[in-house]
Amino acid sequence: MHNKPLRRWIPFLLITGLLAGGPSLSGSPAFAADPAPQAAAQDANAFTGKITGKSNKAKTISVEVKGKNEFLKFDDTTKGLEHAVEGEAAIVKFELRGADRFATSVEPKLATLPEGVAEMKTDELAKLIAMGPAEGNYVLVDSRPAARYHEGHIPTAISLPDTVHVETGDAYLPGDARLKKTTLIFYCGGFT
Amino acid sequence: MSPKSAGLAKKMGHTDVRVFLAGIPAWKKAGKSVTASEKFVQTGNIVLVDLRSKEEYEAGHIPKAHNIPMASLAAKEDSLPIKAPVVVYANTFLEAQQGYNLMKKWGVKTGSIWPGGVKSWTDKGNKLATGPPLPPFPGPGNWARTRSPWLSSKRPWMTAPIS
Repeated sequence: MHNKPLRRWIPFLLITGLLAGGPSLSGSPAFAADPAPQAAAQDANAFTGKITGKSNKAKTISVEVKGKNEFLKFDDTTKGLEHAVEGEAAIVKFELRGADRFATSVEPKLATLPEGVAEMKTDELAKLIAMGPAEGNYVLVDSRPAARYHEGHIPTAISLPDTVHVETGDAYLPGDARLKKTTLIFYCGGFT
Repeated sequence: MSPKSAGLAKKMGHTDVRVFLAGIPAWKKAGKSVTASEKFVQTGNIVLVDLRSKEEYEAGHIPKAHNIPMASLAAKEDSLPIKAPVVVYANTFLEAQQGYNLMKKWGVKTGSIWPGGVKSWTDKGNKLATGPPLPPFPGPGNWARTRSPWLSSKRPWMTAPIS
């Protein structure tokens, strides 16, 4: 995975070299300089996003930032490596060493909740679900896109993608929830 | 996604609003199962597994289902298409959960349970298929990814919520 972006550049470098008619070496410095402006665009030397992979062999972590995978190196001095778990949201701070980005610390990204909204933990939710929506007096809402809901959702959940929720408000909630008589619990893919 | 929705609910006057922040990944990590929707079982490109006995299966099963009685499931590790979405059902939720857990352990990516088995299937007005021949089990390499409408968010029914 790590090599792919490099390989993609090879034909470009060759063509540039041929067109210039000069030694193709001139392409190399240009390439090495390329990651730097990208890094500069990300502010304060930190990536916030979903961890998409970690390789102990290659000593790299990849983080998805704005739909793009960013790769960082890490070593024994990197703090909080246990938070670099695939699929979890994290803030990865790094420093530049030459052309490489070295992760200095990994922290879990904790979502901020709107005022007056409390977090629900797994155990608490499991207890409610064992009771069922009627007895537990709750409505569990899956905020993910409907396709995700179809292929697997938490038992007793209803589907109300956040995009639809914004457009329709309470319209698709069951009666008791519309009347604001129940606990409303939202969940999604675990980050953002 | 969910905090945004929670904020909206709060704005609309709901008082008791909570967010299960850890979401689906944590739910699965805690060893808990997820549920497939009726539509997914009806039309999804899935591998449906009936964990009941052969007799029960032949008497009536959800269309497309493959019969692997719970007792013989353990021997099927190598013949399971782990890249396919596998949906299991049984007589009891506990049994379905056992099958689900086993398949998860084998690396099935998108496993889920059809809760309530054939009863909830017919309760929702769906028909059962009966008798042999049993469809051949797809095997590890014999499930093909189709350009699945399930992943396209442009279809209107994809974004329509389920009430």
